[in-house]
Amino acid sequence: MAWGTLTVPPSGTQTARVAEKSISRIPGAVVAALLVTALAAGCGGASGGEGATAGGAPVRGGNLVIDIATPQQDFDVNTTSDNESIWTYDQVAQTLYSNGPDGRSLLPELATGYTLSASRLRWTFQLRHGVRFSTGAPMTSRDVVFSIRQALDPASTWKFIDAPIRSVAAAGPYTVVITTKSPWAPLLADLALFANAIVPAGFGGKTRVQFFARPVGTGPFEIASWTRGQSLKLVRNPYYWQPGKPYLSSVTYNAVSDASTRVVQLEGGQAQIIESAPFAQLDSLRSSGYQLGLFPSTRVDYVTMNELFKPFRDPRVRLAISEALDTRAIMQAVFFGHGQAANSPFMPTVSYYSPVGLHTGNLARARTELAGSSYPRGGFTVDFITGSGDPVQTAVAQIVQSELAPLNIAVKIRQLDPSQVTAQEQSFRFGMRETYWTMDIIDPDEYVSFVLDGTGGAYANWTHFDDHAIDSLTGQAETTFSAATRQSLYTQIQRLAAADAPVAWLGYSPYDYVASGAVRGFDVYPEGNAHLEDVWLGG
Amino acid sequence: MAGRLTARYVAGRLAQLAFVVLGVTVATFGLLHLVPGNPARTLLGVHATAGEVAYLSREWGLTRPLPVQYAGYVGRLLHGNLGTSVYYQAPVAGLIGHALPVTLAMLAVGAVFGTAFSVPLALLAATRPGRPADHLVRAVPMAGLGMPPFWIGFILLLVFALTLRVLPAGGYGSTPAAHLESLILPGLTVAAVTTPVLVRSLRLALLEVLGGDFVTAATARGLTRARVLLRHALRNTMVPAVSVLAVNLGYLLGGTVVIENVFGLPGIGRLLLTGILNRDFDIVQSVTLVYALLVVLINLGADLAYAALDPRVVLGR
Amino acid sequence: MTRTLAAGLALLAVIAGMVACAPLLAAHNPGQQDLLHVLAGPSAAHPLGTDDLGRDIWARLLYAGRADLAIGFAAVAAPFVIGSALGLLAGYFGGWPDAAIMRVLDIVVAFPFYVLVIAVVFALGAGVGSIFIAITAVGWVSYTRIVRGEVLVAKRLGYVQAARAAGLPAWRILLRHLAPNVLSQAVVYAMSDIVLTILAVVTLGYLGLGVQPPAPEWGAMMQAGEPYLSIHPALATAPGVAVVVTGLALSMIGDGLAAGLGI
Repeated sequence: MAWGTLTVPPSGTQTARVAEKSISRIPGAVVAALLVTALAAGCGGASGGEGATAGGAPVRGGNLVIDIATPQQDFDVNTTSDNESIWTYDQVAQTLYSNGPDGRSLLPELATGYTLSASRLRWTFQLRHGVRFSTGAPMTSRDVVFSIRQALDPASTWKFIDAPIRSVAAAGPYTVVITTKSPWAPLLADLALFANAIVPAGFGGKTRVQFFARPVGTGPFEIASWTRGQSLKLVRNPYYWQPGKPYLSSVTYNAVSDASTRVVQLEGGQAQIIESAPFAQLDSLRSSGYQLGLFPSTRVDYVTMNELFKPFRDPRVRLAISEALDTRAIMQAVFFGHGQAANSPFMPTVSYYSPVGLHTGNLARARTELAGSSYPRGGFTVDFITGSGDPVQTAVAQIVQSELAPLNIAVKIRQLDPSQVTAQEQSFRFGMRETYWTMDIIDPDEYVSFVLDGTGGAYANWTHFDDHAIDSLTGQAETTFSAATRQSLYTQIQRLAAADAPVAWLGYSPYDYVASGAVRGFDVYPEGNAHLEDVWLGG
Repeated sequence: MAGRLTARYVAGRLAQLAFVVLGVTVATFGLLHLVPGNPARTLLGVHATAGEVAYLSREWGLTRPLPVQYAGYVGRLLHGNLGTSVYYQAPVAGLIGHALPVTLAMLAVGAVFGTAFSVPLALLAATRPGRPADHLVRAVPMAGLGMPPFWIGFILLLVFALTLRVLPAGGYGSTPAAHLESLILPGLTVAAVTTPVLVRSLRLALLEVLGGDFVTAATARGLTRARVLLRHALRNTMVPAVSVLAVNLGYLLGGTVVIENVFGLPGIGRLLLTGILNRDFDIVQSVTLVYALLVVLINLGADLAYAALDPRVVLGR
Repeated sequence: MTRTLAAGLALLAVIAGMVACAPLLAAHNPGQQDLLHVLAGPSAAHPLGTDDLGRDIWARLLYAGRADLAIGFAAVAAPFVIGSALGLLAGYFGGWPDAAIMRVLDIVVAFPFYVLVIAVVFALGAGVGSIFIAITAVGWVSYTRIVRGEVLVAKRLGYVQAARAAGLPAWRILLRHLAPNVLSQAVVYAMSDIVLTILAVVTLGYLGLGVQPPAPEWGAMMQAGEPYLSIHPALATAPGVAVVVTGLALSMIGDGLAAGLGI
């Protein structure tokens, strides 16, 4: 698949020509080596985009400014769940295995390999030698054991990922043994979760709160300063284990909530990369020579329906709502032509995806479905919560309001402070809300456990949905190592979920970044990880 | 003679100030108790559980009698403790310490622009009363007063940042030069808000002064018209104009909240809004207090300056 | 009647007429979405184009005017009545009622207008009811100041002295003799106060603290349009033009009234 589609306009812009010129000045062997590096960094575009991204020798130094839409909230791996914090933490701390560029494979990172016992319960990992934390201290099995153990905290948001782990122990300075309670197929993928990143044993003598206020790891960068809510500066980790990397001296994240301000900062040179550029503006940005980064993502948007609200306990009511929504038009409008209507509860970028089909945008079908439900004529009012200032949530809420009117279902929109939306959701004080999921690991078990499994700890994305067949299939898929069997199990799960409509799936949309012509080697994987150690600033 | 700036005047003014400051703290303290019912419920939102409400009530000492709570609040303030932000996990005093200079710098830039716009306009109008130029200038306040400050911000952004691309569209930069550059558009917006008020009062004051005897006298002494205007008339007009500005300060300063939001300036107005979005009560309470103190202190300064530069003394020179 | 007053009244009449006749002037329902034609430019069907949900901007602009004008005029009533009454009392009786009212006034004016309005709305929660309460809590002071000043002057005039000498009760002097004579200034001020109030409503809408979507309101429309400022500036700026024109009409009426009354 065409991952890393950081393309430049085919018209051959200034930047592309400059890059070609600089190639011709350096010996062929170097160019070849660099091309390999650049490709390894995941910047080989599928369509003639190589000029800007692969050209030129990596330049050391420089400060890369990235405008992000919302500020990093919290780095405590057991409580955080916002993508900005997670993706920033990725630059600071690393995992034993990490997600590959295609979103379906794993690459060894702080581990170099593993062996699995015949019982499929004992995983023995060999650790990479010569890895140091940004404090200069070497990383050993002691740190790994500590890091995995701290993530096993039963109070952790992510406990469902590490739940199968029975014990973790060192077997030598560079060997770690992890034992699971039962054979656990997703373990390797689970270890790539940011919460399992390796931090210094005992938090380097700090308390948990002190440590995560400015976390330290083996990643290419360390945190130099953090003004909560505004900006965060990373500087190069001088002890980084990959020779020559990172290229950049520093990375500054600025939280700029207003999308047009982000664009203007890019145009004014105050930022080199902006996140979530307005989709409506992408075409004009492309034609003025900026690099468009529409990276295939694991994002799926959906509207949740809280089953503590009585009408939503009836699956036919939920299905009727799901069918009444014209997801094609919604995705078209909300993502300005860059969204795609969902045709499965899974995303196409995830392993074991199967296009089981969803009957959306079909009002006649929805009416029939509702007529057979316990609310045949609708007649109820549902409370839809949105975060103020969130354009997607605000837009979807208004569309849902208008598209459910023909079913005689009234939608009352309640606009909340963004910080309050999650709080209201997690205490089940809502009827509906628009939200989305992006994978953090490559195994769909994470998504299924969180969104579909009623016993998974998050009450099926805080809907109180619980389907015993799905719960049981999820358990089977977790303990099965055969890809073919897992495929069949996950296909069944997708069929069941499509019929039960625990949420109304809307659709898929890419990660959307825009970069100035000077940025080279920038790639975002489907899980959202960006390897900034591979990025450099060209002329 | 030092105008009306007598010891007695200053003492009276300070006593009034002390009373107002006390009242202001009662008001900010009362903000939490504004809504009938339990303030903890106000803070946690209508859907909080009884347990959460009870916990917060105990934690904040909300079960004690109001006067005791108020005394505690004032005691904290006197120790420089403005509370702790839940969102930033930092003392509010420090957050305000970082943000206040940005707001003050924006106001200063705005004052410079405001003066640069309104003085020539007022001069133009006052020297040609009843003529087309005068009518045109008099229309400025009429049109200007109805402009939402953030809308003026949009227009300036659209012209200077998005179309001409000569100025940054937002943020505060990291160097003094970048700070200054980032303050130009917000400063212009502040000026757009102050100019209507200033032009109106300056024009009236100028008309009055120009009709006065001393201008005739000065002209009779053979001074040129320009010299009379600049040396005498304008000088005598600035004092009433500044005091008009001080009286309207509350309105003008309030506009900065929205302006900072449009341009993403990390000042106290933006701090107030993020505090509101995150229901970060200590921030809302303390920033509101700081705004009020700012108004009170600037008004005091203006009053004392006004008394010291009693117009009659200047006129007599 | 001065020319300014006439022009202002005419302009306001046009705006009020357009807003009142919104269903006749707009071909579309302001809430009707067209997801396949979002952010469209001006066309015959949509004279100002469509917004991010494909709704007709022209229709929303007209219907939003209903909300803003209605709230703007209505929200001035309470501060006008309360503020003028307090001003009459303070000015006429002097002494401790005057001192008490003026000290409270000193405290209220210490807060920047928007800061206090925003803080009050924060405490009460977003919505139209909170807007009324916040604007009343802050807006009365100007009327009190103006009316009190007028009363202080009028008290020394012959007609009041005569009424007092005749032994008329205080309420009768206040209502029958003083009020009609001192309120003209307050009425003139009310015109510019409506402008400020509409601005406050629009600002709260812009900050997401005012009228809630999907109800059309000028400030909320500008907030929704802000992300599209560079590609579809009409979304964020057209409602502002409506505010400015409305403000101009009211300011002209205020100025015209002031000139007519010789103030």
